[in-house]
Amino acid sequence: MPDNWSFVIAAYLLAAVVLGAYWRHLVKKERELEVHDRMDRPVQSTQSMGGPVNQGLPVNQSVKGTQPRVPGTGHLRSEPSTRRPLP
Amino acid sequence: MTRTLGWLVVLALVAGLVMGFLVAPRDAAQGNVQRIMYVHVPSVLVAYLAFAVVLLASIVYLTTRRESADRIGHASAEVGVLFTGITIASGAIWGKPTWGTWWTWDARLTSVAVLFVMYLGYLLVRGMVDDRERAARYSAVVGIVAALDQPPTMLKPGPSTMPGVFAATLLVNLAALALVYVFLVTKRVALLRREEEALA
Repeated sequence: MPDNWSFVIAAYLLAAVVLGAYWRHLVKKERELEVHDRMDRPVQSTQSMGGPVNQGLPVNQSVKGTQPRVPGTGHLRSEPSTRRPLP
Repeated sequence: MTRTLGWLVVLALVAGLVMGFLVAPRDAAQGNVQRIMYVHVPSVLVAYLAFAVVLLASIVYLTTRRESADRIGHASAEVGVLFTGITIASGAIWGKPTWGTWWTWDARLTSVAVLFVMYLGYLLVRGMVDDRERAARYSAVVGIVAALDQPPTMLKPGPSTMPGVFAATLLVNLAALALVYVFLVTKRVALLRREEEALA
């Protein structure tokens, strides 16, 4: 009987690829849920406090430890110093 | 806890590979191709375990309506389908050099293929029904019906004696894949719970 190592390696590789792909799928799902959780939090705080708080910072800068602002959740305008005249 | 289980899985898989490639000798009749059995046989046994869990979880869900039972059934079916797929593919890879063909329509192979399709159906039912409670109920029924196909797949071709080292290698690999199953199901159940919380 010949050794047929290629068949042996193919079988082990296939099992590793299938299980690895499923594992990656789970990790991807977990990350998506984390992003969803993060996006949920600022929306809830905005609603409960009656409006966003930017503590005097330009809108393109976030307070350390807070998450990026979700578009469409408030009515913030850019700081006058950051505005440029239209060409 | 999941991290510890993860490291245990890695260790068990390494032990399985060492046993399968370095400790177990070359089979006198089949040659090295027999080493595929250390993936094939544990995979099918873990798939049976997964589908037995689906059956139990389905019965528990239908009698108690516990969502945790539904989540366990769902996760176990997913992982069971994976292991059945590995079983079918590794069996075909073993069959080509041994029997000279990738596939034969004998009772055992066909019933494993039917089992695979039935549990794919279980997962499809879950995906097709929008209402969560109805999806859980329908899939629990499919989970019980699909379990009826398990006994024919367990038919053995005949009595066989196995030298100790081959049996030990098989057992180590079975333990490793069973740990992989527990790890993946634990992870999937936790994710399903979080998904439901996010949707609520």
